[in-house]
Amino acid sequence: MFRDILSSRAILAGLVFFVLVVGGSLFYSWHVRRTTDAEFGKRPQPVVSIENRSPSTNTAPVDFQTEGVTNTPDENTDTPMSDATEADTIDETELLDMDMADAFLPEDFVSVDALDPSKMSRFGLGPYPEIPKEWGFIPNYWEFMVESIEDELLSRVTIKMRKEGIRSKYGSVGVSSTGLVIALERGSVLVEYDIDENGEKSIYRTLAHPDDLSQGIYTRFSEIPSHLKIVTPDEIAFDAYEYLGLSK
Amino acid sequence: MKKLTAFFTIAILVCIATFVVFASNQNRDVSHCFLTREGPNDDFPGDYSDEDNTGTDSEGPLYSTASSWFGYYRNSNGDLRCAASGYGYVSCSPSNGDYRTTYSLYAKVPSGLQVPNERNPQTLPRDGSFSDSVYRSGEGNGMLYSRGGASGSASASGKNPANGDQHNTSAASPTPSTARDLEIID
Repeated sequence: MFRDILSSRAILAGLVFFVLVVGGSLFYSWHVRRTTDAEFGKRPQPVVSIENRSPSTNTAPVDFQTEGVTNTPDENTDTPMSDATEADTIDETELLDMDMADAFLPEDFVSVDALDPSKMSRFGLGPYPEIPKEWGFIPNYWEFMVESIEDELLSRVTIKMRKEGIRSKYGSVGVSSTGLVIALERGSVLVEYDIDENGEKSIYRTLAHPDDLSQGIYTRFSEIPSHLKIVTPDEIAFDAYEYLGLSK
Repeated sequence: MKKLTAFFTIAILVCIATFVVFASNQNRDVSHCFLTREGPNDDFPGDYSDEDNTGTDSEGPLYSTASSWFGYYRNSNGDLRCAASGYGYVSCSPSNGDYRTTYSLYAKVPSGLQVPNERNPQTLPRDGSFSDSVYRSGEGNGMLYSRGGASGSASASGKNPANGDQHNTSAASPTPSTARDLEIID
């Protein structure tokens, strides 16, 4: 019986194809990991902590970090330079476009965190804020939780809300791809609707706290329990970048 | 021997399909189709006058369900009409308000029954407790539309920053041929 199956050319061809696909995927994965490791190995390591520098060594803010420009080590220090990679070089055209006055604004001064890739945003949002102690269970919170820029914005928004003591008033908080925060208070229901051919509002989406709105289909505003406050995204959304003081 | 080979080949394919369905977490809790038989006759063009499909799934604080419905009826003028709906629902009830859910919702009815006939609202990541749903429904000429054009789906994945737990759930409205439980009422 099994001999018949195994002797079938189609089955054998399928098995060979399957093995080739799986083997190829594993090989490619190994290749990517190896080349990535090799690339990271060439990166210059942050050799000195700015905090540990002697005040006499340097007091002027000489380092800055903007997009396309990397940290320039202090000329007076013996910081060993590693092999320059393409990403480490200064793009001259971008440098010319830079307003030099902006280049020395205080917020551009490099911090210790800026030298540590694990403490800097993968999406260009700057140094990560300190996370609440309860989240410390995760060795690298930002790597575990953040898969997209929306994830990172959401983490930053909730951290700031916690610091301001306002997070608890919301049942849930979300961030859209356009950077809009939808924070929904308990006792509110968010709806999205169409205007039907009779000019009436026809609800197609309802978002609320599970205790406020159990599973149910509401197509008209009149069907929603009266104790709930009906809101729309336009009414309650606010800009995450503005709230966090970040530039887009 | 050829029949035996064909049998085992089909059996292997069914096993793979089952594995794929369970690996994608779809409808682990409920996969049910409810059919009401009133045809075929002069009143209804198909074998069934009413079809109701539901799939649900849950894991940890996440719950998802999706359903579709299609039915025929006669209006007061005696015209054959049809109605359809699609529905997707996700809820998250964690003990930790920092629990993060990334999810998607989808609902559809046959094109022409409602404009737009499908919806998949933007549902990018959300922290805390919530329930979210999307719904489409519409009515039309019963001679122009048939079963199968309505559907719903919902899926979610969650992460707890307090302990590293991760969960997944997904549901999709089944069809009479894919539902695990099929119930027919004559």
